[in-house]
Amino acid sequence: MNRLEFLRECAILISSAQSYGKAPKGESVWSIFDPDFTGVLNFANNIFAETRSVLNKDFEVPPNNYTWNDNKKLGDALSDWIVSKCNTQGFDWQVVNHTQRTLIECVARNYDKTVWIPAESYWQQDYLSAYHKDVRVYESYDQITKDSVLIIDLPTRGSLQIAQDIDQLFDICDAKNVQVTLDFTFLLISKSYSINVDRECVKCINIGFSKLWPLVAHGYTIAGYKQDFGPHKDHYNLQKGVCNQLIQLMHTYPLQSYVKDLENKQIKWCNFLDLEPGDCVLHAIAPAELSLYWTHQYWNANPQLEEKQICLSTLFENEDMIKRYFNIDLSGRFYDI
Amino acid sequence: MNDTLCILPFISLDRNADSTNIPPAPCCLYQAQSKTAETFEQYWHSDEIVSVRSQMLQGKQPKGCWKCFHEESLGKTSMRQSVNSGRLDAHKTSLNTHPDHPVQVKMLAGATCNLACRMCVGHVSSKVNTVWQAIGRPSQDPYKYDQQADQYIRNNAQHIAYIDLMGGEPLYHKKLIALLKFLVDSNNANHITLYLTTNGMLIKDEIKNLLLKFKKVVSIFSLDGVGVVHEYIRPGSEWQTIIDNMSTLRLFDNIDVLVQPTISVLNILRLPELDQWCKDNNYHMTQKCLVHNPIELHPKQLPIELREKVHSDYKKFLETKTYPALGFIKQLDEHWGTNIKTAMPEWDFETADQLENDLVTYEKVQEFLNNE
Repeated sequence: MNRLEFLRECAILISSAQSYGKAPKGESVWSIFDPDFTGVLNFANNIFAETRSVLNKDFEVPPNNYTWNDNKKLGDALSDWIVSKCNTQGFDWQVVNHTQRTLIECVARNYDKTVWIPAESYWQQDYLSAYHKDVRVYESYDQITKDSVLIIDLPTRGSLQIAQDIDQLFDICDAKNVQVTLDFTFLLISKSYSINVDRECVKCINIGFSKLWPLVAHGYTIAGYKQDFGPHKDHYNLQKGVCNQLIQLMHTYPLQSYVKDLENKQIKWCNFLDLEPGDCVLHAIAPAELSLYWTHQYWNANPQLEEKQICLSTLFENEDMIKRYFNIDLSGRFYDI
Repeated sequence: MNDTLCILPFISLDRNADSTNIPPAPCCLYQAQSKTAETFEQYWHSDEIVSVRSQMLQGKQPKGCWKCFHEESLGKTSMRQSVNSGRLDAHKTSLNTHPDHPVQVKMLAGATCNLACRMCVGHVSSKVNTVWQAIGRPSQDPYKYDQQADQYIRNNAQHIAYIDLMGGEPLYHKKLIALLKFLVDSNNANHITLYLTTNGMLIKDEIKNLLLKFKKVVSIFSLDGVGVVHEYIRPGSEWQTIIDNMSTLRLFDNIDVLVQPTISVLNILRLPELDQWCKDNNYHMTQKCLVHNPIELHPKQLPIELREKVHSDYKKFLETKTYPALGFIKQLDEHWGTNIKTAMPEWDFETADQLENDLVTYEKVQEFLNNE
């Protein structure tokens, strides 16, 4: 059995099991489908292309007591929890329900400015083009214009990497009075990257927890602002009680140990599949034979992108079932089957 | 004339086309409302059919006729409306609750057939039945020659104006040929119109000479594609033989030649070619049939990869998207030593092999999950 055949069989197995409620269902509407061949096949065709958190039945979300959000306490807890990745002190934090909210607020506040997005960030291009008339894509830093806005995800969605010369980008933004919004959704699941956000140009940081923790159904994302938007901004937390929940989650699931657990799974599966692990712990670098599952293929994004990653979350979730189905223990390699 | 009237309960003896010993009915769509009579004579005077006639004469819709009224409610032309347009005026004198004789009889020649068409079923074609046995697909027994209808026609030939002949292949059955000879020899053919549904392969001189003796023959040729496409879908057929026979029959004044395709997953991409061929050759195409069994060959099973190629006139037949066609097509290809990709290259789409493998995997996975 070759690698594609193995993954294809896993995809049909997991999709079928999911359609019968015998495997964890994904958290999006497209994760619900009929168990007939078409329903299963449509889902199986993108099951490794969608990046999502690992649905872990042992993961417990603390109850929401709907108390008043204390954003200051959240900022303090975050600062300790994420310290290995960046220094978030100096930002005021708010709860938003999705990254989209942060991005929409950013373009709304800057309605009269050009918004720049990296060529690799196809999701942001796709989404923001509907909300702002002047969204432009850059391929080199010198294209970014003066007094504009930059929205960039780090690591960047296309490659799930951070450019080595990222500080040079920030230098340009400082020099051209470009306001920068950073999206750290993938930073939480990266192994090696950390970011210095103590830059004049960085005005906003977005942190979505849904790739790290199975929380997407809860819609927990936070946004940190360096600018003061007025004395009443605490009123605009989108969900009450979430600060307390997130603080408890940060205490229960320290970032480094949680990522380490995922990394162990990643290494086990990458060994079995003979694939190079990605820097993001949910991913593997996938050769051309697996291009069906490259994420940007699924999004029908620019085919020139060099993104060659597949997401292994569903393999992690369904490891026991896969072992039973193939009668394997994952100690060998796929080609032994 | 009221809006619920149908001429068939007043003139017709019919049976469902693909069953053995099914009780008589006014048409093949009628749904019996009680245990109906077993013989034609009992049926013709039974309470149920008398009630149907009575309700129609009163402008009511008999329950058993719901299929036609349902079609009409959807804005489509029902069989009732089609038949009325040709026969209602001619048989107005029969419009009473106890007409003397039926003038129209369905004659089912049994499932004996010279072809094993891929979109046919085992109980309607003896050859398909053999193929299905060979590939391990379950089938009902082939239905038999309708001896009762044969006898009824012989006994009442002087009253009969229309006979609807269906198979299998009607012209492949010696008993049916004998019946046609009887009608000719007894000087009844000259007042009878035959409706003959045929695959067109067996129009020998003996048959032509018989058909010439009838008042009228409406020959309905089952064509599913042009050339190699037709031959692929109907193994055993020869395109050139069929079109030669069509050309010959249309030369006779008393014979109409019509074309009737069956829409299936196999030909839905190629039907525009057949439409054009009929137009170019001046053949009228009747209402097309739609395959419901084998379910794998219903047009809705067309792989997604091929759906965009379907002509807009035929898109309505696609309905929901599924894939089961591929497994059955492959099974039949293996049996016949053919390859659909040779007959119709468009089936050689990029992911066809992957889809076939996926289907095998899907079935294997279902078995595993049943035990999970």
